[in-house]
Amino acid sequence: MIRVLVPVFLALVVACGGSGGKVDQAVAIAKELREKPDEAEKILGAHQMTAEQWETLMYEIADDPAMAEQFEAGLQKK
Amino acid sequence: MRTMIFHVFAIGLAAAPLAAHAAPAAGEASERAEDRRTPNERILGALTLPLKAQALRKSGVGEGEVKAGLKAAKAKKLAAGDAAELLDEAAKATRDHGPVENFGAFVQAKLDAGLRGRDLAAAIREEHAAHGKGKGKSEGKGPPEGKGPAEAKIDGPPHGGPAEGKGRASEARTTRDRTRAGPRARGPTTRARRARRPRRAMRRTTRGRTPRARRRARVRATRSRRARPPTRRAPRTRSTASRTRRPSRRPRASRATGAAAETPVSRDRKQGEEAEPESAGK
Repeated sequence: MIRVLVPVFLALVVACGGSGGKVDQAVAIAKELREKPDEAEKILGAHQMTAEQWETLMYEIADDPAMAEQFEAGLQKK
Repeated sequence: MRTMIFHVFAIGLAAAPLAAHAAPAAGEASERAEDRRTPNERILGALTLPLKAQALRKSGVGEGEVKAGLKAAKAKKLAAGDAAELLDEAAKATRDHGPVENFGAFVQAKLDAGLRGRDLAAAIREEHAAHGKGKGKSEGKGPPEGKGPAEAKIDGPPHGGPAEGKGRASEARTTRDRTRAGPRARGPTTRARRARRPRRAMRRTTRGRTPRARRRARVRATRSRRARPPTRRAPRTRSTASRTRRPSRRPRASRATGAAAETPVSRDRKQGEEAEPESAGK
């Protein structure tokens, strides 16, 4: 029983924390991009991300209203 | 004739490839425009996509439509920055003209047709202007969401007065309201109104007259009222007839004695009967 529950619990934690983590990461990158728009590529590189991956992440966040709201709220915070 | 047909056929063959290349040319042009963007611009443009999607949702477009639009843009490998511009244009148009049905399908169709960038934005604007169902078209004609039809505002009582039989006739302004309100709210009948008229007329005319003249006017008004034909009364029912029946002239027989009471006629008969045996005896 425990063997079954542990993976399920871990999967739930990863799933719940995953989206929040993605949004937090996106907010952090977006804030840096706004501060230094000329160094966009460098900033993405520092976060180990390509331009395509960044675009895919933005599409993913835009598609989910909860994530989009969280992203918007995160950007408004200083 | 054969030469003509041959020439037409030859021209058609020559023109076909040109026409076939015309449609992709627009798409290629926009793709080239995308390519012209620097990586920095692409990255910064993508940053606004979630914000524009939220703006579109807030403007009143359904979640399904937003998702369909994003899916179509993603499927066509549209840059996130371009998708953001598209959504921004759609949000502005929705605010101005109201949402359109099947926004996602419309975007899909336009992307399939090869429209990108400004052309796509212009197409979205036109579509909203033509088929937008909302603010721009019905401004001032009706109430916003769920506040009832515009008709109710026109026909209903203007100052929130009662409309369904609760108020007085003066409060139920329109004919429709009066009909709904019932007989009391309808006010006095025509006959009653006519009956009131002479009094009002007298009141108006007697102002500024001498007491004698006033008295005369009053008498005249009373006479004219009396001179009118009497109003019809309701036909007498059985119950009222029994109540108002006059007592019969014939007296009832006294129950105690069982003898018939004397009436003038019976008295005469009695006297006659008494006189007959006497005459017979003689």
